[in-house]
Amino acid sequence: MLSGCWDYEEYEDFIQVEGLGIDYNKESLETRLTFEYTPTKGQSGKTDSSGSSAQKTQIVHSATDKTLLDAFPKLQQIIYKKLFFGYLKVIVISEEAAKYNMANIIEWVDRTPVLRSTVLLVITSGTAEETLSTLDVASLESSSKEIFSLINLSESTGAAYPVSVHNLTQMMTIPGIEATVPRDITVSKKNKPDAKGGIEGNIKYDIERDGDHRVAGLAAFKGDKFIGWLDEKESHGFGWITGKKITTYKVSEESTDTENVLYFRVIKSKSKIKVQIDKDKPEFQVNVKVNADIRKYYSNQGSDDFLSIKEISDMEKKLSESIRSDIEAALKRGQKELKSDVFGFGFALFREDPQLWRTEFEGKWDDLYPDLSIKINVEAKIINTGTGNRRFEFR
Amino acid sequence: MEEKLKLTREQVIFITFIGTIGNIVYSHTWIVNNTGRAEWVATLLGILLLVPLAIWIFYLGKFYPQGNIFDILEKGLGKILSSGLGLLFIIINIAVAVAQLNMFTEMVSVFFLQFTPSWVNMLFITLIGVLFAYGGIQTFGKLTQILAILGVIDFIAAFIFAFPNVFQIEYIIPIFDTSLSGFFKGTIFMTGGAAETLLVLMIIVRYVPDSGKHYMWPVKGIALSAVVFSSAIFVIIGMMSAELAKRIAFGGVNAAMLIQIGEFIQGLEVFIFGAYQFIAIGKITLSIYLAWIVGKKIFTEKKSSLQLFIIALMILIPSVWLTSYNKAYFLAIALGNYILLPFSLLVLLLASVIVIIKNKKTGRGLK
Repeated sequence: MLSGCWDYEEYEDFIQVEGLGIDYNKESLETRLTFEYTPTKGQSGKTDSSGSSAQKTQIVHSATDKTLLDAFPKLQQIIYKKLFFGYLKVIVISEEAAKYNMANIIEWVDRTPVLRSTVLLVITSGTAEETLSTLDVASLESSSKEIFSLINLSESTGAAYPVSVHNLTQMMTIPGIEATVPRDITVSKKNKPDAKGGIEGNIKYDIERDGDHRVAGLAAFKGDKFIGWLDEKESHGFGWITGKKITTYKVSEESTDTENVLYFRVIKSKSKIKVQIDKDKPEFQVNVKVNADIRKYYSNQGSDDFLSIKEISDMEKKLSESIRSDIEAALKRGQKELKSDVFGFGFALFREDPQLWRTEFEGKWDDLYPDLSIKINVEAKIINTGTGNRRFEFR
Repeated sequence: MEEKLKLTREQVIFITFIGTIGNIVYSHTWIVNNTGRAEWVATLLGILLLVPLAIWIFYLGKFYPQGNIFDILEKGLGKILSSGLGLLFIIINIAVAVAQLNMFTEMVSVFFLQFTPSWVNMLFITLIGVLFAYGGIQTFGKLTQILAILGVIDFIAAFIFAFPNVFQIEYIIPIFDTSLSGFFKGTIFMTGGAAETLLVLMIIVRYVPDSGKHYMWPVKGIALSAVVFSSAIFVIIGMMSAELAKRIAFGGVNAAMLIQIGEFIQGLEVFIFGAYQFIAIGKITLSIYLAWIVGKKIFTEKKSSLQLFIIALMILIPSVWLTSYNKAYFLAIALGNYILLPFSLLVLLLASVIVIIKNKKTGRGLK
């Protein structure tokens, strides 16, 4: 009991920081730290003309200084309660910070016990300050809670995947795999948020702007440096290759013939990267298995009333071609253009033969990876045709 | 009366269990560079390699049922030489306790009580250790049964939630991604680190009825600790990967922080903290008790309470002076690499030679 006396704190003396933003300016070499927190009823402080108080959804402040740890105390100086990070939801990192300052950020976040490694990460092409200060006025949630929910939901759509600090440090330390982090896209009519509380030197008070968020796409890394984006199609392909639990809608690829485009609902997806080593040369196979339902089938072709086994088989072929097209797009981007093994082919090789990986491939993987031969096998199965098993007939 | 005091099978098993899992809960990360993903296998084998040494101690004990290993040394080497070894034994126990106390209290500092001075926690743990040691080995033996079981329950309570989302079989298989020499080095280090239990067995053998017949008791304790601790490492590596697991300072606590149930339930590391607390209390108590018993032997039974108090101060003062997790970590590494096992082997060899010589002279055991 006595040993707790020095650390005794009242919960009401804390502010729960929910969102943390990190920006970096490569010209001035300065870091900007942004905190977003939800005030309690007493803290929001606004009253309208009738005398009732309006609850603010969030408060955002930012401070700029030479390093993260220099900016941190500046923010504590303006936030009148102790900062508590136990329920931090999301860390938003700007593209520039991800390019030039990621190692410092990860080392700090990983080593600091109060910042839990389960916090989700997101990279933004704008600034983290703009991202966290952008608030959807129609929503009761703060920006960090919204981004957090969007990240968690993104896996089912295949457009992005949740990555926590722990996942990122794993990807950065495990051999044969490079890191990816989901992308946040912020939309607003205003270019820059307003500092409603004013600006004092390098500190901005109460930053706000109306807008919204979308989590789609992935930021690809090589080592600790951000090197490029994967768009939605490429992120889909990434998800198929790495076995993410995608449950989403999918269309077949006849983009010019929209009448005969098929809609699918993917129920289950699994994938495995197989490695075969032939005369010390690795050959990779990506085997993807997908179960789906049909959601739209309209065709004026064929004479049968029922959707026949042959037609189902043709639909399965179209689905697998569509998935294959996603995978090819992802490989083209990740393997050929970015030359970053975000898919983990090196890790699969390491698991197949750790000694061979260490002696023959680890040191020169960056050179070998872009020219790897990768075969793609997609097995798609349609397990039902939705609520009907006949074609829709229009009279 | 102490001479009549006899430990039960369960008490010996659990005292051995606590005796084995000491500083290695923190220092096991030392071997990951050597063993890679096979760290849990090296841990299992390394601890099990203590089994022949435990049997050896109990075999020697049967030749002198009223005494411990240091009594055998005194019979053979005389008072001065055996006292010298006894003093070394005391110093080693103090070093083991200092390392354990520092690593545990710094873990508390990092995660929980950042502003509480370390000496407060150290004093608290040492006081508890003194109280338990003063109560005698039998009382402590009963207590370790509870502490060990609570510790295992805590461990399971936290890590059960690692399955299926956090634990990744890709981080476990393939198991062997290292060279044979690296694996061997790691195994031997774990044997050295876990050899803290041999110090315990050297003293408590006196309280085991017919130790020659009941050699399986400490074997079970060692096997239990090998299985429990290696499965803890197995889970940690499965959750974090070997590359990340080797960075962590506080073993299971770091790993348990990764577990989150839904959006709100987190902080399961508090269970692992509980397990580590039981280990710390058990180890400090054992170290105090062992040093005290041998101290009483060297400096006679007079004023034994004062001796206990002095032993406690000899643990507390260097611990407070050190107050550093990293220094304590390297102290534990040095103990595991160079001191515990060689010292235990030296003592056992000397005792064996004495027993053989005495047997040849008298044709029966030591009296």
